[in-house]
Amino acid sequence: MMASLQKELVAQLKKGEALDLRADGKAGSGLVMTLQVFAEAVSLEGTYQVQEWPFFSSARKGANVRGFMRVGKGPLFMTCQVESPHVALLFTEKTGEEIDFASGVSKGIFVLNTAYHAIEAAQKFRLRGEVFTVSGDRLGQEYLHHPIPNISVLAALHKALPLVSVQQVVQALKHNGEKRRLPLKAIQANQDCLLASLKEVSSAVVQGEEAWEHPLPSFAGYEGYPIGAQSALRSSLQNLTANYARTGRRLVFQDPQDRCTGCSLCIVNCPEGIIQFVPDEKRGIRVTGADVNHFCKLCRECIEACPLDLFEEVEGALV
Amino acid sequence: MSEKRLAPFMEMAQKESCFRPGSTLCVDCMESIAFQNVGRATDNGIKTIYTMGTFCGEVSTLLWPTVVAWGRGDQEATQFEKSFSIIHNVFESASTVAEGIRDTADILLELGALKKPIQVVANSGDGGALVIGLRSLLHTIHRRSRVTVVVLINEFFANTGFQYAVTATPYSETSTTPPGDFIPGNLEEPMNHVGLALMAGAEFVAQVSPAFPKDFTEACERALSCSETAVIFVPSPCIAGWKFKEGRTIELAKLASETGLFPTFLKEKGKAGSLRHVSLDSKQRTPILRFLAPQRRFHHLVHEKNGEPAVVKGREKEVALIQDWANRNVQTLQRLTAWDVA
Amino acid sequence: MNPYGSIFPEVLDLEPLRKKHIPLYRRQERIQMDGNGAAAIASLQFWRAPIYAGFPITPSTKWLEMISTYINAGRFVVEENGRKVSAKRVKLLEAEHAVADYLVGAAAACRELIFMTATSSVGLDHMTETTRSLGASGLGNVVLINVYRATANYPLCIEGDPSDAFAHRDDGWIQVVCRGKQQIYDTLIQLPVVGMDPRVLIPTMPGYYGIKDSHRSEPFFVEPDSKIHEFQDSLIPWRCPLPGLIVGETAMGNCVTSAHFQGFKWEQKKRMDQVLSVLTASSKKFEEVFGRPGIVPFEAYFMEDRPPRVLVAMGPDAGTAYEVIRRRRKEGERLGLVVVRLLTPFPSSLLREALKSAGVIGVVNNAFHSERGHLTALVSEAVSGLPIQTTGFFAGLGGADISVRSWEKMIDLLSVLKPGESRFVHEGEVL
Repeated sequence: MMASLQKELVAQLKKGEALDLRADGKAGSGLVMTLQVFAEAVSLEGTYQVQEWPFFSSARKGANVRGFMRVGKGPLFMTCQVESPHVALLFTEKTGEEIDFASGVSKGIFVLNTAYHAIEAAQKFRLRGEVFTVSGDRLGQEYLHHPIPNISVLAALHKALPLVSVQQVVQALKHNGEKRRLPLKAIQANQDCLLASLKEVSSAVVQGEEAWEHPLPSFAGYEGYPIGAQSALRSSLQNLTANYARTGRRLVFQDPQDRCTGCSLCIVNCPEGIIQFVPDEKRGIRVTGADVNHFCKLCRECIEACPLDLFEEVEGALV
Repeated sequence: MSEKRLAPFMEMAQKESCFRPGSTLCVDCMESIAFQNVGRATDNGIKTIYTMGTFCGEVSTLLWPTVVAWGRGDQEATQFEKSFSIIHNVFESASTVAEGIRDTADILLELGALKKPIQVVANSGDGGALVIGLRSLLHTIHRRSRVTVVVLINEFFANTGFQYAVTATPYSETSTTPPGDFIPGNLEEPMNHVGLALMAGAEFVAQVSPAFPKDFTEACERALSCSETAVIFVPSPCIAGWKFKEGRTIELAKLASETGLFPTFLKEKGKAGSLRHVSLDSKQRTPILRFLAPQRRFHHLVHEKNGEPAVVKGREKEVALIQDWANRNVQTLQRLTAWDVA
Repeated sequence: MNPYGSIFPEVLDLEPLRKKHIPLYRRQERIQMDGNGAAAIASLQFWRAPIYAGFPITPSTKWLEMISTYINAGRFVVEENGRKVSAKRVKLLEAEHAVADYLVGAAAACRELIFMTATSSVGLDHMTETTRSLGASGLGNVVLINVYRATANYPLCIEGDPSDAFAHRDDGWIQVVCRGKQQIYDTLIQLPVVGMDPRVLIPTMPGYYGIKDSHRSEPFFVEPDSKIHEFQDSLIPWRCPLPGLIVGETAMGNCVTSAHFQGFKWEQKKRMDQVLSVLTASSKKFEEVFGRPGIVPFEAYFMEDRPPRVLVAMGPDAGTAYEVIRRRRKEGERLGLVVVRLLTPFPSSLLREALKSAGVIGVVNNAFHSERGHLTALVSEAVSGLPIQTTGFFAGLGGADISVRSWEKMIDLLSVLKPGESRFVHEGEVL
């Protein structure tokens, strides 16, 4: 059963109005691939024209990225970015905590990768309209041996915007895998993941509250931009890269028996330089932990380096 | 404090790096680990100035307004000796820019205008220093400029998406040499960057990874004390481009040395050099399969099955040729440990 | 907190440098020299210029040779703690690109000092990656002497033609054209003062025509070094308000995304908009100190009676034009001449005011352009909306001589050509 907003959008699309999508998430979440596959599926179906493009930056794995899609019946003349999407996707919950992924949407369709049910997710992110959620990290881990949500979100997007058949999505997914020269096994695993995910999408129509607004960001102007982009140092201390770590996982250091020998391998192998230690008379130094909550990207090098296994990756939220 | 002197790298671990957290470098990036440790080595009581080429290590650490990931310690320096400056100009000339700073500081010092010394470190990727920037690197060395040049080698143009560079291991996948039915990956053998730096006249040349902290510390300290150009090549496993699982960067950096693809090498002008962390006996040497298997850029050649490497059927020849290249590479570098300008 | 980072002022005191400068001239003298020599002499008289960087290319090479000859003859050697050191150095690099990169490092290291080089043609093109960076950098203490020479090697030509200068109009530098040795010498002295003004902080590119000016000798006045220092030091702040790499704790050359890039270009443009007023003020000071006019945006000749026909030209050939027009005015023709000096930022408003009474303007271009000429386009834009017809001429490309006959022809053509036309003129013939 299609809900009313969904019906309305499809009807609009048929009348010749364009439909705008915007996706937010972390680099490495597979966001670009999801949009590429969906765009190809819709495009090959033949009724609609599709534009798909990323916001281009030098973002590395773990940084926030954004992608756009525009679907329409006739030639698509509009080339500007999507400010007020009809459909907003969220690939990484942490991104949703850092930026307003629903900015510019008062009522719309939302697709989220989260373990929450649609009603809970709507509450958390103050969303009004139709909300679709799928537990993408779990499904990715199960089918692709990696907590990557791209295929599950593709399934949820297909549910949210049924413009093409499942077979057409499967076909486009396979084609994309071949283009990326994925091994056959991986292509098959993607397909399995897609079909399984379709069954696990939760959805809800949410009335929400009037106060749940998502205003457009306002332009702050260029006044005060430093000459030649010269700057002071250390501004990265406000860029809390702990958000790069996989959702729901964190590093812990436990040394109740005071076994740390001060060998320093964790310190010199830490890419972020965030291992904490204190001077120690016998050992030179003694490690006491790491600044996990602010900067740990969970690269696991300290876990690998420590001869006494004092570091561990565990389930748990950052503080 | 303990009577016993700590291993130098353990002392080094306690220094204050000029590289700060909060960069947008990938999770488990070796460039980040290298920056932390070179950054600690420069905490030696002398004001430090860095120059940067354009590479991952620059665009992910010098990004206005919120990702300038540099500065010694978390607070603004209160002592000149602890202060730090950094400049990025263009892709290919970190060492030439460094030379401009060096000469200016020198003349100011010699004429009594500048009261305290500085040290200059030029950082680039292998693309920036050995491909498009080879001219800049070799001429700075040739002019004997007193700068330390750090070259982070990840075997391709990682910043633009892993295109072939002159340092790429034979038969590796790059985005411009995709293996398929026609070619089995990159067909070129790497350029001998260590030899070039030596022959251009560098006072000190090292190829060493922070995976070997003792050697890395030694190399940084020796380089910074040189009165002419010192070059440190840092083999840098690239998680995004080499495509391996998190937590294996240090392991792969060790394997790169032990297999002979990037053996640890230290050589000071006029003194015997040393090859480390690689067996000189090819039979005793770690087989390259151990290095290739964990990386998906060699997936067309080797797979990892239950933690053990297995050669893809029909690709035995390519694997043997990589092994041969590694063996010859060790031989070449071994000769270079004894090579000096007459 | 200072958005640019902090400064450790006590570490650097430039007074020793100023004191240890060995002057080339202690009183005003009249000397005979070519253009490269005039530029080199001026360059060597700055106490703020301790290092000169270079790579030889015709026709700018003689600047580098002369600088090197003076320095390597020990002309600036001083004794420092019982040791002989040269207070000036020359840095010979392996390519023009390296020269530009080197200047970035040096100029960023100490922003109160002036770092100079000279180049031409493809040499400037080879620097392009870095000259475009420098233009945006805020490093106003870089001076690049552009000795104009034809670009593009099909065919190769080593003679003067400003196509190199025009190709770099958008690099973000201040570009000034000189003609004659006195202008070259005076411009070299004045221009760094404009570039290093805290409101401007834009590198400067004084230029003169290769061969026609670089290799032709003339008499000109040289000023005592002390007077030059007095002039420059009265306008250049003792401390640059922005931290340099040595005294500062700072980051230069950051990356940004498209969300911010435009903001930096907006900021850069605002500084460029300051150039004309800062230049004019410094010219006033220059005239007070030296008794000769400083840099003007353009020279206007015979414009007092608002002549209906005006030629706009630049460079040394304007001298011939001056003589031809002077003669024809004696015969009763009302003709005017405007000679452009400030190429970037182009003084459009002032030019519009000067040209507003003209009926026909003939703009003489010495560089190849795909349409009616760079200068024609700039002048047409300046007078747009006024009832003025602009005509483009191409003459003197690749340093070709522009003879009296050619100037006569161009003047004749002013009343013949249709609006918007452009013609090549050589040896009195029109093509």
